[in-house]
Amino acid sequence: MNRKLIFRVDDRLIHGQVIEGWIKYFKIKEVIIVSDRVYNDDLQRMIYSSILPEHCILQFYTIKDFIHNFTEIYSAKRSTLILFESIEDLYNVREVLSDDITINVGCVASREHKIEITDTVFLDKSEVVMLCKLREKYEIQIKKLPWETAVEIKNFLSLIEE
Amino acid sequence: MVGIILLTHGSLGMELLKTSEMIIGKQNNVDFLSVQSGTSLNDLAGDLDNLVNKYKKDGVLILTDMFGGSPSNIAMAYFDKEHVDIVTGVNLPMLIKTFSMRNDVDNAQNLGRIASQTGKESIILAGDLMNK
Repeated sequence: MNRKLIFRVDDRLIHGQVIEGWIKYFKIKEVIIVSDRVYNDDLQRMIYSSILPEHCILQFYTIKDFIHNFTEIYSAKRSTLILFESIEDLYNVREVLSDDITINVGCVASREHKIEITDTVFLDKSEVVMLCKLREKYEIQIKKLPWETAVEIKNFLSLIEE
Repeated sequence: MVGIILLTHGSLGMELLKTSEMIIGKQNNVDFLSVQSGTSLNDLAGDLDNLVNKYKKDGVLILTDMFGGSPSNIAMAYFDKEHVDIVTGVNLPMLIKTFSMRNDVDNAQNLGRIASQTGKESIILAGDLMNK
């Protein structure tokens, strides 16, 4: 089986859906958390390290270091799940995206003024704009679990029209 | 009396509380928080912080449903706080025992030890009973 490189936006990072869903389904060998916040928080790093299955490697990167080290990550040829806390963080690494990776939006929590896309994905206008820009070049799958059908949003831009 | 916070996915915590009260009667000093699909974990962490502070004097035991799940991950932020302990994998026998032992222990750590032990021992494979 070809290795998978999955870029997932999930503001819960590693949790039940990720452990029981994505890691098992795609036989993920390495998980990378790309977050400036978590990178600098020893307690969060300890929590996420403790819950990952033993056969998985976990690495933490800041956004800047992730872009800088991506060639190396890419050349490792392992099935890897790369987690981002927000659409904005994913958007900020767009220079490393390519056609042979998978982009998934899984969980973005509800807030005031957010548009409900699915039961786990709530986006504000700026996030819809960023996703639209990414969608011009890459396929984006909106779903919480790998075996689900991705939510198709045909008139995505209409969400932000007044 | 050590407080108890049920922190679970969906309405599991609320239902566990209702069910245990059905069996051993109304309980005091207990709260539940639920993580729903669209819940912001930041908001929930704020709610949890308020509850944990409420029990600062007598201590509090946080019971979560599944190690590695979001409710448990939020709770783990308190693992080194002296007046707090956390037990994952809450089940009904564990909760009932925890409620009934609250007056016999003086801190959250001791109550947590009882809870985790009871939770494990409460799981029985029927076939094992027959083979004894």
